[in-house]
Amino acid sequence: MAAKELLGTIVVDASAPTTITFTSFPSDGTDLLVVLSARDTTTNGIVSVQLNGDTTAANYSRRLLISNGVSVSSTMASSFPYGNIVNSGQTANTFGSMQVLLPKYTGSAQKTISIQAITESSSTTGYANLVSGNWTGTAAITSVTLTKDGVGSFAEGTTASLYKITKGSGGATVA
Amino acid sequence: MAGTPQYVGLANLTLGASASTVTFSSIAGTYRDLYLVIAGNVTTSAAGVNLRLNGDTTTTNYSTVTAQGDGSTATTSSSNTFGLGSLSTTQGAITATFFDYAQTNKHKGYLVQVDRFDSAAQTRAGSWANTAAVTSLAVVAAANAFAADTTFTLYGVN
Amino acid sequence: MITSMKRSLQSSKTWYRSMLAGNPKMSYGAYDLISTTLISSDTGAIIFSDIPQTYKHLQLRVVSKSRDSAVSASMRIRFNDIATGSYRMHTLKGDGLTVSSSNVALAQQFAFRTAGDNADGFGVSIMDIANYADSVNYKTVRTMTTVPDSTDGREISLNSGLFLITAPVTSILFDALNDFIAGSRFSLYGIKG
Repeated sequence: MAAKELLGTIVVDASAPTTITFTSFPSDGTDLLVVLSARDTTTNGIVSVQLNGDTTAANYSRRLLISNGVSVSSTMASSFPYGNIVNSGQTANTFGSMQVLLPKYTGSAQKTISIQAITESSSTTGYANLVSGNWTGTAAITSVTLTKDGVGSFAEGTTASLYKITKGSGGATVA
Repeated sequence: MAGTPQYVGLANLTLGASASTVTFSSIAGTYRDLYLVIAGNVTTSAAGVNLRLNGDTTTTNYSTVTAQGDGSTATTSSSNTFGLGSLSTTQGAITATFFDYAQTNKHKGYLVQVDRFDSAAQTRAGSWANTAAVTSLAVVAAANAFAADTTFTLYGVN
Repeated sequence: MITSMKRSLQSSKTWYRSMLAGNPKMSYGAYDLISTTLISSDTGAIIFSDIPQTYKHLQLRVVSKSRDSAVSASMRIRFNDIATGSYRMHTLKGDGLTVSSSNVALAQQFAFRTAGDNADGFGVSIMDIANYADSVNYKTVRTMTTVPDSTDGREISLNSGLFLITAPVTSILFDALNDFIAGSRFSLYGIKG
């Protein structure tokens, strides 16, 4: 049986939505993976991850490694994990590439949010993010929201796909 | 190859009690790459997670290079040890891809992402200086133990 | 599709009109191997051509080493055999001593890193190309690469690339300044979306 299955894809039209949400997905998998190709209608260029409709920033943490094409830095905050996407001020017809891994999404512990994201442009500036995030919720993940968090919206042509990754049945030994 | 799963779940373990070592053995050599996901935590304070391929405990047979951000500073490091990353007492994850693991004509390279929101976002790469096919893969919580409910999942990719 | 069936004389049997016989459709998943090339002798260039346009994204996995007499070497990648100034790149890199960020102005190809002849092992890369079959927008590439070594020259990098052509990606070419060494492997996967 294949371990990686497509659950659904959302393609953004010209309505400029501020969120992309996946809900009603199966609870029989092991990990979830979101693959996002996105552009912002504004110069904001940030997309945050929220789980189970929890919009309380204090319930999340993030720690980032960021490069911008010139320098490397690191930041952290008690707030939504995020990745950079291409913004409206950058090269036209260009979208950022981001993946979000949510391991053990049906577990009863706090949830890890693992993000890898890049933006591109025909200029000096191009972001690369590695993000380690956390959500304090202990419930199984039942919805995943990619949000502009009130600043900007997703441009037409943005696509988001959700995949379910399911473990195999073999075992391992413990010592 | 349509019709044949290319990304296959091989094995998994969820700890019912804490343990210091988890081993996947008798790994079939029929895939191209292996993908490992560790999700969970250790029991007491942050701890390194070490890798053992084919039971090889000689540290200098492994080499690694990292790039990480701890929230204030971006750094890089390298070493000749079998470190795969680290976990702490809060939830985290280590994901690792082992390339051409069953080939017998090259050292074994691996790419890792270590997610510890409490400490750092890190990417790591390593190499095991052995041309043997990988038939067992173990992870060890150094001077510590993986906590109950920590999960270990191994996939094969064609 | 079954359009007719003859009943046997056996009783207590359940009859189905579909060959699925009441079972769910087998899913082979979202991840298809399109092609793998494993070279058995030194080779100048590897080309994936006539790439099916039926997936959402592509992923490439490369295990490679070139004859460049260095630890780290350049691996050039071109889409659709286009060798004009249509490629842009940015890199976050750690080499054990310095973590750095860089950008490369318009170039005739992508140039990511692989292992050279002096490296202990083979370099490994995972490259994701989103919406490769799109005919409206440029193509963005996200790549993790590493050059392994037990002494100097090892590195890890998260790279991005932009192919400033709106046509769908139908071919991908890899070459090194010198040949790829036997044992190098190039795999192309299609990801459904």
